[in-house]
Amino acid sequence: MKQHENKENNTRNAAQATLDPFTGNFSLDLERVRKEIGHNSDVHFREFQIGGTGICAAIIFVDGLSDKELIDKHIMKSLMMSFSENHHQEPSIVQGAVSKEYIKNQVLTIGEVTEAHHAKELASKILTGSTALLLDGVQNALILGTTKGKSRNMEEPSSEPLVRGPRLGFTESLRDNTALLRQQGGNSNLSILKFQVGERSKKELVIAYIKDLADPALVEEVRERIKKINIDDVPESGYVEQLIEDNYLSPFPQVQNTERPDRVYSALMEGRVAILLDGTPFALIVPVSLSMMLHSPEDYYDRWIPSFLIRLLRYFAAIISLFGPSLYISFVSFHQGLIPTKLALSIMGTREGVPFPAIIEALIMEVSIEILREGGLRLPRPIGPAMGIVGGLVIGEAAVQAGIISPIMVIVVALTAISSFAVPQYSAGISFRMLRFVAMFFAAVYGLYGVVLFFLFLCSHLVRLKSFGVPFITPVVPYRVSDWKDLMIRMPLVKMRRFRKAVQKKDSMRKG
Amino acid sequence: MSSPKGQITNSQAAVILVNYILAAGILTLPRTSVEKVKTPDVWITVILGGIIAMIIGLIIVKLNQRYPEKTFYQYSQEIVGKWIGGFLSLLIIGYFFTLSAYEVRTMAEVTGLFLLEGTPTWAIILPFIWIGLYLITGGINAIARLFEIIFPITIIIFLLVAFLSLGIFEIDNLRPVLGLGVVPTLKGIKTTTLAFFRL
Repeated sequence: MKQHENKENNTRNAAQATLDPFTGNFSLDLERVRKEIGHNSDVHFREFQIGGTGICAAIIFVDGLSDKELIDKHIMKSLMMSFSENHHQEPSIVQGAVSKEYIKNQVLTIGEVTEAHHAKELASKILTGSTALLLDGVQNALILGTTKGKSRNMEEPSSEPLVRGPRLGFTESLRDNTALLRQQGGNSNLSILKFQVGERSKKELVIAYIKDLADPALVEEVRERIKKINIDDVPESGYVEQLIEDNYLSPFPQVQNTERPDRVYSALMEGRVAILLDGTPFALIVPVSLSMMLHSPEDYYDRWIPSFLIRLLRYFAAIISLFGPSLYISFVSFHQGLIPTKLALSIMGTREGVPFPAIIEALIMEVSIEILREGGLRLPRPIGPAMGIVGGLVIGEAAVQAGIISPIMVIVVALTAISSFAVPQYSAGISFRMLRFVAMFFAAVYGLYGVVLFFLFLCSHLVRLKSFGVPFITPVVPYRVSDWKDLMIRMPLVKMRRFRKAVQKKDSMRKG
Repeated sequence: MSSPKGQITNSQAAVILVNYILAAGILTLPRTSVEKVKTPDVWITVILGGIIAMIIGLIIVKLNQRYPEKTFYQYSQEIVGKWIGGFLSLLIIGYFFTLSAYEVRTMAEVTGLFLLEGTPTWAIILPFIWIGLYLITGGINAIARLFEIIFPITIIIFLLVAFLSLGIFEIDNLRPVLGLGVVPTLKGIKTTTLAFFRL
């Protein structure tokens, strides 16, 4: 009993010790830091004496995370060599002590200098790349910003290629990403606020918005939700997305994610707020509306006539990807009379030997396509394309030959699969893929009436969905004709002087 | 950021109204009114019925303007006293109830007739009502927005059908105008006004 109590006391004391503020006693503080992180092999302790004075000092840094050159040339040199040359005349030095202010203001030639008050804080700062400086006689430790991580090139993201547009993508380093964002436009109102998320592994999170364009209530809402995030670790922005979205039961994403800085910047110019997380190139944009899902920045980079037509095509493709198989099922199973006679005869002819009802046929094909698609994501490079062709041609062809499915079904399913790729936002494309199955089920039970019911159900859901307070299906409703310029058609740029007002609240009162 | 709960814009109110009128009553309007009138002057009846409905609508709008921020149930009690006002409100509620029952039944019959022969009526009605339930739990805002989505689709299809049948439109069928006198026209007003009465 007593031993157990003692052990508990010890651990509590130890934990407490790391939170106690530094005492100013050099060896005691150093001991504390050693206990905290000294066991790591990549943490280095370098004890030395400040040049010419004999005052003990130590720097602690992590090999690989901190900029060795900076440490050697600026910290060590200015404290050891140049110190004796330049500063030994100072009265305080002569007395054998050194003041923190003096070191900070006159000696250290480093850009970022902060202070740490206890060992735990010091440890977390060191483990992100800073260097800690402990001085004899100085109470707190100085933290010097020497972070220099490794990052890859900013090449175009493979998940969102465009035919025309800047070939830039975010990387995993938050600092590089914010720099890239600032480079997009020298807007002095671009505000970047910092947060820390994750209880155990504190990751840096940053929200960006343009001060006079974004609604302050929206920014406040975003901050509140981020502060509420309570989870151990946040490895990817997807975690943040799921923890701040309005309705986690909805199949539609309420937060947009992208790797492209030009997308983020144009969203910011519309008054939206962007969230960037350290360690992932995917930035989040809130709030989101249905139109954002189906728009691509390319629409604006090209001239208006082709963009207009392509955009219409995209909407059409989205509808096909959602309702394709269900329409086929409802016509073939329920409403044969609605199909033109010649087509009806040929369809019936090809379905002659098929043993399954239309819905089972459709399900078999759709599930196979989904399996192929999912597997295709992870195929190793050499086999990838070959498997795609094998899957598509051979399986489809063989199935038709075997009489399991009809060729019309193959056509419908192939068309649907390809249409689902026309949606520029991947997360919205996934929603349509899922909903397709629900639509098929409705169609199988109720035919065209079922498809209509499903459409009504979908609309009822969309109509209630809000993303950070903005209704999801703005700008379709409420009717605001000036927003329609951008929704389905794309007017020539000369007519679209101001970007959409859907999110900017400072100018207009909104009801409905 | 969001609209104040329970408020809709003017255009949304208009859209709700139009959609409401274009309900199942329209389907049977030609037949029932002609049965009453027995002349080809039913089009006059329809116009007259519409005018009467508009006058009634005007009355309601004026009433609403006099008592802003109050619902019908509240100000009717103010105008004619608590009991009669309550009774009137009850009447209105009952009216809406029976109206919706009628509409649902008509819708089910029409669907069963055109689309789904052989499906039992309850199977057609149930999912429809469930979806309606899901919608109204979103509040008037959700309803208004849904109507705004449906409105253009309805209008386009309606106009399409109307204009496509212009080919078989023969104005001779309308003559003689008022051949049997004005009286039969007036007899039909009751039917047409009721059809428009979904205010």
